[in-house]
This record gives sequence, C-alpha cells and structure tokens, in this order.
Amino acid sequence: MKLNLIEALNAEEIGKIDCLSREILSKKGILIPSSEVKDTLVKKGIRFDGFIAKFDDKAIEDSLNSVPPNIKLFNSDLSGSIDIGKDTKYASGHNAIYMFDKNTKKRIPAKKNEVANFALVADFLEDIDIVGIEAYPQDVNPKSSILHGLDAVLNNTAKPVYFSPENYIEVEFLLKIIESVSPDFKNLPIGICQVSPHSPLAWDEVTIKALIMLAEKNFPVVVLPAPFSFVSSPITLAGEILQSNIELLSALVITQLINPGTPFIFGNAKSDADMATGEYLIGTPECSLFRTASAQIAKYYNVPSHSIGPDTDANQHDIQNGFEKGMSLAAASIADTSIIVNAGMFATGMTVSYEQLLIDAEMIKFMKRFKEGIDVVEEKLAYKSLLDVEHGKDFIADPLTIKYMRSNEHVKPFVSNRRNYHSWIQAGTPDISDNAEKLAGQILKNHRPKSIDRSIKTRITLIIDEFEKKYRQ
Amino acid sequence: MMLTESKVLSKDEIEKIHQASLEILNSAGVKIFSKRVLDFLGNFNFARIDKKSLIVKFSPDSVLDILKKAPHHFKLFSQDKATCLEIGKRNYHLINGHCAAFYYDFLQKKRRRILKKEVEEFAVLSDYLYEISIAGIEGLPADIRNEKAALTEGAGMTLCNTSKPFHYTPENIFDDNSVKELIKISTGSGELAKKPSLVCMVVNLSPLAWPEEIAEVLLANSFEGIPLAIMVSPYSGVSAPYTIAGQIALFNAEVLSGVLINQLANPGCPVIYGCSCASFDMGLSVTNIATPETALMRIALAQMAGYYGIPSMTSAPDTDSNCFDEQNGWEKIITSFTSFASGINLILNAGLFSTGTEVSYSQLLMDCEIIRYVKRMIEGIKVDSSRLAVNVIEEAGPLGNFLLSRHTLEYLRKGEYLKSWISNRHMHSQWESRGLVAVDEAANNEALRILQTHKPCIKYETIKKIKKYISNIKV
Repeated sequence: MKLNLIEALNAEEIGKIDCLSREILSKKGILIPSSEVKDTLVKKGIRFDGFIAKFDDKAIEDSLNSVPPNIKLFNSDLSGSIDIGKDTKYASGHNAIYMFDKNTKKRIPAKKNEVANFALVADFLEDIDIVGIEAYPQDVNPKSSILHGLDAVLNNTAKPVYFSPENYIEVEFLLKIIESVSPDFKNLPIGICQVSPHSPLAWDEVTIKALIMLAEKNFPVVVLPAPFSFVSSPITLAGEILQSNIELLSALVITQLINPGTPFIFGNAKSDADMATGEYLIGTPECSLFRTASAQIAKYYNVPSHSIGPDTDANQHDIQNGFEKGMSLAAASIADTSIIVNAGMFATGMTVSYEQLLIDAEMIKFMKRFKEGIDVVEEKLAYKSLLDVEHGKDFIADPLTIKYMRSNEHVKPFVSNRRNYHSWIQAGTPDISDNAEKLAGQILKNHRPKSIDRSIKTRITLIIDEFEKKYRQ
Repeated sequence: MMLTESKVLSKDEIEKIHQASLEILNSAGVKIFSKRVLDFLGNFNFARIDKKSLIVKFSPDSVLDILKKAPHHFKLFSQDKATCLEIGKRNYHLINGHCAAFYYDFLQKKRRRILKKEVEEFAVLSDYLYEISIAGIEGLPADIRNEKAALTEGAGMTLCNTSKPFHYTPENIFDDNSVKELIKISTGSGELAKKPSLVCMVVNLSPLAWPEEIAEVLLANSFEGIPLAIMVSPYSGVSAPYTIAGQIALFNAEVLSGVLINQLANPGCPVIYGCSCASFDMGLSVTNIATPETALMRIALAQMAGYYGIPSMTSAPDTDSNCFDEQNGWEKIITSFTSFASGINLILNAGLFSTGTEVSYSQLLMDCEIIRYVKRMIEGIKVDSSRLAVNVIEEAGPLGNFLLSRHTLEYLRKGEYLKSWISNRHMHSQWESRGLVAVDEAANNEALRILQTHKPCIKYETIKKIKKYISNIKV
C-alpha cells in the first residue's frame, strides 16, 4: 500500500484549535488598519470595533463552503495544467537575496540573469512543478526587483509561477504582467501569489489591500502566517498553531466575501528564534512538526495547504543541510501538503544555488518514490523465484529481476553517489554538490525552454518601465 | 500527541507476506550448514530435514505458536547493572558502530585502516554520548597480533571504556565464546542471561541459508538465554528478489527461521527481529543501504515484527555517501526517521558512512544530533490548555510581543524546543565571522574535546583483567 500519512495532531486536538480560533476571531478579532478596507468589509457584513475586525461563525462557515478544495493551475502557454490539492506539488524557492559560490563559500548578490537561469533549470527538472522567482535580482531597480524577477522567470519556463510581493502596488503590476502572458488568467490561472499577515493578529494596510486585489482578480493566493516563536507568537507549538489558524481564517473570510470561490491555500512558514542567539531558524524539528500539523488542519477545512520546504539553516552544502532538508521535506510531504515551496534555497532561505536546486529535486524525486509505498501483488511477492533459487545463491538472472530492473521499483538517482569507495576515488571524490554543479552546467548549456512571444516580452518591458516611472525613487 | 506510526503494509498485505514466508519455509526451506543444529531440529516433528542437502523445511502448523513464546520486550543492563534499558514497546535505542574496517582521518582528509587507539576512543565517545544506548565495536582494529582475534580485541577495547550494554556480531564460535568471557569479566558475573548486559547479533547467508558456525552460535546462545538479534541482509536482485514485496517475504522467512530455532531451543529467550535492508545497483554493481526503497523496507520490517510481537532492529542512520555532504545528511535522517517512526526499537550503525565501511568521530556525533532531531519529531506536539495559550495570545493582542511573557519564560526550559548541539544556527554573516566552520568540523572539534575530558567509570581491576584475557587469547 501507499505510505500512510503522518499526523502530529489528533481529531480532538484539531477540533479544539478550530473551536478556539472561531471564538477568538469573534471576540478579540484581527487588526486591519485601513479605512478603505474597513469600509469594504463593513459593507460585506463584518463587524468592526475601531480597526479591529471581528468575524462570526456564519462568515467562517460560508467561506469554508465557498472556498474550492482544488485549484487547477495552467502553464503560461496553456499547454498543460496541474491540480493543487490532490497530491503534493513542489515549487522552486523565491525571494532569496544571494547566490552561493561553493568554491569560496562566499555568497554574492543574485543577478537577473541568474534568476533567469534558475527558472531554466527548474523548467528542465521534472520534479519541480511550479517555478518561483528564486531570488530578488539585485542588479536592477530595487523597487521593481520582483517585476524583473517575474520577467526572468516567464522568459525561461512555461510552468506555473509563484511569487510573493510585499504590497498591493507590486501585486497590481505583477498581475498586469501575468495578464500580458495569459489574458484569461482569471479563469485559467497560471500562478500563485503569496501574502502574509503581520503576526500576531494583524494585517498591514499594504498587504490586506493586496489580498483584496488578488481576490477580486480570482487569483490563487497562499496566505502565509509566519509566526516567529516567542517573539510574534507564543513559545508553545500548540499556541503558535492556534494563532496561525486565526490569522488564516481571517484571510479566508475576507477573500471569500470579496469573491466567493477565490482559490485559497492555507500557508505555513513557522520559524523559531534560537534561544541562545535569537536568530531566525526554519530547519528545526519543531518547524517540521508544524509543517505536518498545518497540512492536517488544512485537510480538516478541505482547503489546499502550503508549506515551506525543503529548508535548512546550514550556510553551505553539508550534512546539516541534508538532514534538515530531509526532515522538513518528509514532514511536509508525508503529511500530504498540497504545495511545498523552497527548492534551491538554503541558509534560512537567504541564499540559493543551482546545485541546491538539483539536490532538492533529487530529494523530491526520492520522496515521491517513498510515498508510493510497496506494491504487494502476487507477482511481486516473487513466490516462484523464491522457490526456484538455490540456497545461498542469487537472483541476478531471475526473470523478475530482468522484468523490473528498468521500472520504478527502485528509483535511480541523478546526482547522489551510489559508487563504492574505490570507484568514487577514481571518479575524483565528487560530493553530491559537485555532481549537481556538473549537471546544472549541462542543463544551462543544453536546455531550451519554450519561449514567450516577442510581443509579450515587449509588453512586459513596458509594464516594468511604467512601474519604474510611476514609483521612481 | 506523539507522531503517528508510519505504515506501508495493510493488514491484508502483512498476512499475505506472512503466508508467503510460511510457504517458503515449508516448500523451499532453509539450508543449515551445521550437523549439530540439524540434529537438534530433528527432535521436532514439524521440522523436516534432508541431511544430504542440509535443508530443513518447517511445516506451517506450529510456527505461530512457537513464535508466540518470544517475549514482547525485555530488559538490558549496563555492565555494572546500575541502569537498564527496556527493549521493545515504543522504546527507541541507538547502537554505535559496528565492525567497520576503515577510519576517516579528519586531518589527512582520507581513510585508512582503523587502529586500536581509535576503537578505544570510539568507546569513550559512546560512553559519553547520551544518545548512544548500547555500545558496539565501532571498527575492527588492524594493529593487532592476529587478525582472527580482531573482534575479541575490539570487544576488549570497548568494554575497557564504557559500561553501557554491549552489542557484538560474532563471525564464528571463537568470537562468540571469547566475547562472552569478556562480558563475564566486565560484569563480574558468570551469569550472562540473568540481567543480561549483551546482545549477540547473528547474521545469516541470504537467500535462505545459515553458515555452520553462525547457526551453532545461534543455537548455543539460545540455550544460554542470551538476548539474540536475528539479523538478515538480503540485497534486492542479488540475494533477494528484485521486487520489494518479494524481498520482504524472503527476509521475513529468514528471520522466522532464526527465531524458530531460538524459541525451540529456549522458549521465552529474548530475541530481536532484525534486517539490514539493502538494495543492489545493477548498473554499478554495488550494494546500497540508504535508498528510498530500503527506507520502505524498514517500515515493513517494523510492521512484520509488530505482527509477531517481537522487538525489532535495523541498520541506521545509514548513507551510501563517501563524504560529509548533503546526501549523507539526507539519507541518514530518512533511514533513522523511518526506523523510529515506524516503531523499530533498535538501530545500529551510528558513526558509519560509505555504506557502512568507514567510521569517523564527527560522523558519530552528527548521527547523535540527527537522532535528537528524529526523537523530537516523534514526540510530536502537546496540545493542552496551557500550551494553547489562549490568554497569552489575547493579552499580547494585535502586533504584540511574546518575548517578555511569563508563558515564554515558563516554557523556555520545558523542552518545547530542542537545543542545537553541533548544528550551525548562525546566520551567514555570523557564521562567516566565526570562520565558516562546517558542521563536520564542529563535530570533530567537539569529539576531541570529549576525548580530552571524559573519563569512563570502569574499575581498574576490570580493565586489568580484560587486558590480561586479551593478551592470553590463542586463536
């Protein structure tokens, strides 16, 4: 059978979190410091006490009834689609700042052409379903960096895209770019946009306006509470989950009031504060437990889920990187999270490398195989082979070996080492990042993604120009 | 709640595998290269023996009744009997080593044969490391008088440096007898089965065979009541069918054959259901122990052992990487997480990498760090009124801060968060200013610090007797 799903919360605990979330939303509410948004929501029946919005049970129930359980996401050229919410999909990372040079162990600000290269590599990798803007290009106007990033991505992949702007102004122009590529994007969405509340229990004006704009355009949205344990949320995991859920439900109600049926994804980006250094961490076991719990709660509400992963706080390609990424990916994947976003990133999401993207894609490939489980059918029980074999001998020439050797019974790696020590020495002692570096070079040299039309490219350039003129520093 | 147990076989599939294994034992049987063991089995009607082919076939009728006599759990004691571990139920234990041939020299950045000094130091580290429950012989030393006594010498060096329960894997009767003598010295008792301080692991020859001396060790230790781990290690496509289901049916049949001999010899003898899950890369002609398929097999192993109610064991944390890279970390955490998350009680291989051929101090410490992560994951999330912190959230209110909350102070030291030990938790700029230290280097530094400061509490007299025994052994 397939691998069973892992669970960190039982049904009673989820019920309690749901019940308390509704109670707090109704009694204490959420801060929305915008007169404009307040007026809009009051017209939709939301109670306000000053700028504190309070949500009753009926609004939550109506929202849960209207939110779609699955989202169909299209390629930018409409050549194919994927379903978010049916099984786990994986996206390359987004919004890093630095590129890593593994030879010097130094990081350098990411450039637009590198963001384009990341999209090209992600386009090639069959285990990456959605392509994020891997980094904010640092060699362009900082105000329009995300627009340049989307430009770089759309020019190098037809896969659905993922981006996370900071405000509604960026959303407005990002959607203009999306529209230039896919005019019917309201019905045939080609991407996902991520916005975050301001924990605890608040929305900034610029992000709540972004959320409303996305709902109006029927654009798939990941709402991503990012509680920072014992700083912007309680220190206990249960308390953090509760607080995130309150923030998520507030966003869900707002999107569904604005446009019932807005594609909505429950997001998770829990981080820890290290007790000793106070630094921000995302590769801890507690963050992984949170990934599992988040997927469970989204499933309870029948809403697609999101988590960050595979993640690590290691600053280079080392063992810690591998085990933190392995654990975070497993915790999210085996809990059946609908979309897992961050392939290619490390150093707490600040740095990216081509090698990391390939290594993460390999982990994802292995995780998919792992979740498939074990097929126990008569033929695969190999009863006849077992009776035929001579005691202490081998199965090399067994017909089943020959039949299944090229199947997915045992998945083949593309960057991991499977050589024994001596042949590994002969190969020059490459570690996995050396193998990945070599393969990335080949992909960048040889892969030619589908290109968007020249007229669309021109239109995107004009949109970015318009933004830069309008919001000149 | 605690994290749910991982499962990869349905009840029907477990039953199907059980039945397939019974059929294999009944129709193909197992080949036992020991006249003594075949003679012993000849006392039981349900074992049909062909003395010419050395094959014994077990009728399915009584198998479950015999297996039921194996204990669901048992206790394992330290050498001084001061502490004990529960083996079985939902208890998880890590064993360091074992028996690697090569040592990774961190300064030279290359591997070489492991020496006595390093085997001793691994034991010191294991004695110190809280995550190591049972001490194994990390490697077989090369700088000894007689290579045939490598295991005995390794056991002596280990027992001189740790009082933790001891695990060993004899290759022959000499190994087994001499290690048992060493345990008698170490515990100061001639009684090995009462309050046992040792686990003997016997490894068969796949497919479906038991080498002569191993079969005899299995039988002799069963009679003595010494805790035994029946460990099988078939490789898919070579010594097992290429299909995973077939490999499970085979390893289950092999383990059952060992447990049957054990329980027939001594009903109620502590026994462990074990398999070192491995696959074979047909293209490269190499064995791998850390593929996603071997992780699936580990979960299946836990379920099969659970079906029979016998404590379980596998190899982990494992990796096929030959260096300290991301592959190493990812494979090690997946093999150990799947083992403990599925309910396997004992995992064996801490400190090893390169498909179990090589050991290093830094790997041993990093493996302990990985196990800390895995155990924290399995503990899951506690959800109660205090931890849900409704009042705390309400008091903080929108845009509030939890840093100075009494609730934060209360839970800061209550184990809600695992503290990092050797992993890096500095952002890049801090990490850079601290010298770009890689985690394997940090682990090696910590190992050297432990070796300088930790002094195991082993009586001088005991060490003297162990050394005397070693110097007198004749192979």
